[in-house]
Amino acid sequence: VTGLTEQPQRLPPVDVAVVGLGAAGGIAALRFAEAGLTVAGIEAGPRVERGAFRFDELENDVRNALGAAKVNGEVPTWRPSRDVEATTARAGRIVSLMSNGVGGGTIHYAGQHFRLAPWHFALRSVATARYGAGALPARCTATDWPLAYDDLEPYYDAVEHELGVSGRGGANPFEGRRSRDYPLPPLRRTGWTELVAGAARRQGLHPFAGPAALNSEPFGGRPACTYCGFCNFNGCHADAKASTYLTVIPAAERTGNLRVVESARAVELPVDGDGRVTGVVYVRAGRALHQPARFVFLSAHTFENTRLLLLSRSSAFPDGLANRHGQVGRNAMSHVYVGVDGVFPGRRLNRYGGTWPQCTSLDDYNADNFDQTGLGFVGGGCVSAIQEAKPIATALSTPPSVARWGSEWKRWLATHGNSVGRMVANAESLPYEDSYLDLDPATVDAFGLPRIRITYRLHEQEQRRYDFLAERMRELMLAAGAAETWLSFAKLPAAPFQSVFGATRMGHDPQASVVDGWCIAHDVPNLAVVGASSFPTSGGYGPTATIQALAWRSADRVISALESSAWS
Amino acid sequence: VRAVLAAVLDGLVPEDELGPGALAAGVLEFVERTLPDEGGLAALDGLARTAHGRSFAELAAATRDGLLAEVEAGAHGAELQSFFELVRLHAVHGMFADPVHGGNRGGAGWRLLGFPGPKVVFTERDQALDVEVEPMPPS
Repeated sequence: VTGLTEQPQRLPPVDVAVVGLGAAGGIAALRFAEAGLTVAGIEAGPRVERGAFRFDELENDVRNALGAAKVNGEVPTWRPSRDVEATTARAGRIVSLMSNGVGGGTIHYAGQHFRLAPWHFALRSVATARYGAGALPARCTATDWPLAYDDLEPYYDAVEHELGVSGRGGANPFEGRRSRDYPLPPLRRTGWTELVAGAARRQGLHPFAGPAALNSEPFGGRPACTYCGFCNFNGCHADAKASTYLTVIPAAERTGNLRVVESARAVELPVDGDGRVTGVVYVRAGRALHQPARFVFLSAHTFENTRLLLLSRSSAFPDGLANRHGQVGRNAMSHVYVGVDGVFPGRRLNRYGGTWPQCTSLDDYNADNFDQTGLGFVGGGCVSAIQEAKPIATALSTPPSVARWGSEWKRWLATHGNSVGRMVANAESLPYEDSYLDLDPATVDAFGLPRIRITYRLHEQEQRRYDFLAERMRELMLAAGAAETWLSFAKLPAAPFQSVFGATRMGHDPQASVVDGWCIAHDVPNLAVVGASSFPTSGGYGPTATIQALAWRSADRVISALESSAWS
Repeated sequence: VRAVLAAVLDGLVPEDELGPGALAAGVLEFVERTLPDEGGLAALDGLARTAHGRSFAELAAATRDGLLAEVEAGAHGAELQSFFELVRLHAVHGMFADPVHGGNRGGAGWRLLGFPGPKVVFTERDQALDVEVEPMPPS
């Protein structure tokens, strides 16, 4: 690391070092702390100030102020294939809109809280059984998950009731079995989301209120959402979002067992002669510190989980920690976001207020809920008609039939600005042999550490799935009364890599995965790697609910192992 | 260079019967702070001088807009085309961002869109179809 010469100062040991206090790390820290284990929570970003969030689209959505501490200075490089040089500047579209801070991505996420469908856990076996061995292309590396939906269900349930999730069990006829209803009723319905729900029902579809980790009613000592419309890419001004810095992290601190170490950048996970990880080396205020721990729970974003493993080279692991089989970085994917806008002339849709997760969602085009025979792809994506329309985003999306500047443009915005509806799909994407993350050999971050390099292009299944979902959303827009529709954002050669999956994936086979079904490294018995990086496939929803359920399940496994003194 | 930028912004967001344009809304000052200009404005000016024998800043509105449309369509190369996209993006930011950043003076951009301004609470009525939402009180 640039500028660091002295030996890291050794700190008093703890039972568990959690690296990254976000969606996964926050949940796990509470489990560990409640079990009586001592925990050091090492977080690269600062503590965010409650109530200090501003309604500022430019600062939040455009400049990503919440990424200032780390990610804005380490935007990964991207290349479509290995014979092309990777750059950070490719049309500016490989973006890095993570937030850094105690709470991680849950500070600024929209708060949608979907469980995966049972099918997502068994994509390969079910798809090939139904559609034949050719359902997945030859170089697609998708595998079934090493656990089933029913294995994770109790943890989905536990997370929903710990955080406070709004929704209605059974409203989505395609969802898996659930042991309890959501603890809170759905977020308020709006004119726009009900307009789409009605149109969807008339089409024979099955709309429902999307579940959200936002309080529809007061919960957990926090108030209800006020529907301001500025919490996406921002923290909640009212503490109504179940960000982990408002929920599980303070609860863990109250036990006295969690010490939060904020603005502390983990740079290495050292190992001993037996190949066990000894703790975490981090840099804080220019000083290197070594936090010894019996167990290391790595729970950063996919990019950092991958990078930290690859940077932690030793004689036991010359190619990076937990990388004996060259699997770290492989099988990376990102959701391919598909958006369709539609204009409803003469109608005030009033989407300027309110929050994205007030959406009407439907799963008719997700998972295996529709016949994919002859479509040339498997899976789909959850479609949501979203509330939330901020002014810059509104001004930037006009139909191709209209001028993009000048008086004609102004007239269109003045006439139709408040008449535009938006639908978005979280399209499944699959892992392939030529989709991976590694360390960029040429580009470093502010610490002098190599940035992540993304090698990824949209494959045929991803292109076809994109087109299919765009067409279904277009039909639904027209059924709801739109006069004209268009794509909200251009179809890109890659995916935007905001939600990034794979790279340290779970599996039974150490030759083809990095961690087991409890997210514990095959090669390192006292290391867990948890997050979207664990996912063998992306799923057709936002990942946060699944990340948190996996973290809870993994933490419980670690606790029982530590309690049985499996490791000294 | 400033005069060229002002002319570009005046073309992108003109003042008309719908209200103030970029210049009256403070977008020139905003874009001057945010736009990394690596010769794009000089190239645009050179284009105007070659094609019309005068600075871009001195072109008649119709001529200016015609030239901008050519640049947007890529008729003068990919580099100038992507510069146009960059200026347009920054102009949109300046026109529609919170006025605290210097553009969108008096909420001119928000009024154009019918955006009522940030409000701490949006009521059920504010989210109903076809109702007029009370704008934020003038600051």
